[in-house]
Amino acid sequence: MNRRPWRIGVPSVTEDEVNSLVTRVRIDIAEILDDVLDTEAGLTRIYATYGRQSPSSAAAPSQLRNTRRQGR
Amino acid sequence: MLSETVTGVDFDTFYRAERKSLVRFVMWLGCSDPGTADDIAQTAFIRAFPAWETIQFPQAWLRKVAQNEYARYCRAAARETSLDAEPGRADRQAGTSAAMALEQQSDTRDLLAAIADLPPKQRQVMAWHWDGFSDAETAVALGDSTEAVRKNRNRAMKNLRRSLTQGREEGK
Repeated sequence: MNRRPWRIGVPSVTEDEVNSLVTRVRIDIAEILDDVLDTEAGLTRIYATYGRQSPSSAAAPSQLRNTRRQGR
Repeated sequence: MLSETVTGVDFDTFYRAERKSLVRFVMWLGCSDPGTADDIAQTAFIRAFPAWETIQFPQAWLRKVAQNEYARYCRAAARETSLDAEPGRADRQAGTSAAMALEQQSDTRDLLAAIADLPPKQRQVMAWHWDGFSDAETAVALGDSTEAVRKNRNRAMKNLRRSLTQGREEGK
């Protein structure tokens, strides 16, 4: 009665197709994030939030502690 | 997955290995802008940093924090714009290069749009599911029963299929 004729012949997306789509999108997102995420800068920001220096941008914290102890 | 503990893994190593998957998790929750998703993921890592030695299950812990942060972000965006908290709308102001790159990928665009149309609980359940968590683990993380998680996952899949089929019809 109220059926839309243009629906005829269009197959429904299956659960397997959704899962395949998720797999493809997972790869797309990973590739794009690889291009934009600066992991070392992110780490540096986290350390800076707590007033510390990231080991990747300076000497390791354990070394710093040892240096401080030696200096006392 | 929830049984994976942090023992022996230092924060930096974990961050380098897991940052991307946490950003993607936030996108699975409905955040279509990668820049916003990264900010939310970064906030979760910032919270984890001082408590790192005490966090037993970091993958789940970070996802719970990121999920709460994203909900907070949606509420704030809704207040500011006087729109509802539908995330697809809340995120669209960000015109970053990553967002534009994603927009050009039709698969990604279609899936993220279909996810954004799901009710929040269904989005959450699918985000945990797609990140490899079992229904039982998701139930623990969300404070729901395993049965409720299973039902929401089935409903979400049904809605995604319907939404993607509709997109296919319109694109025909």
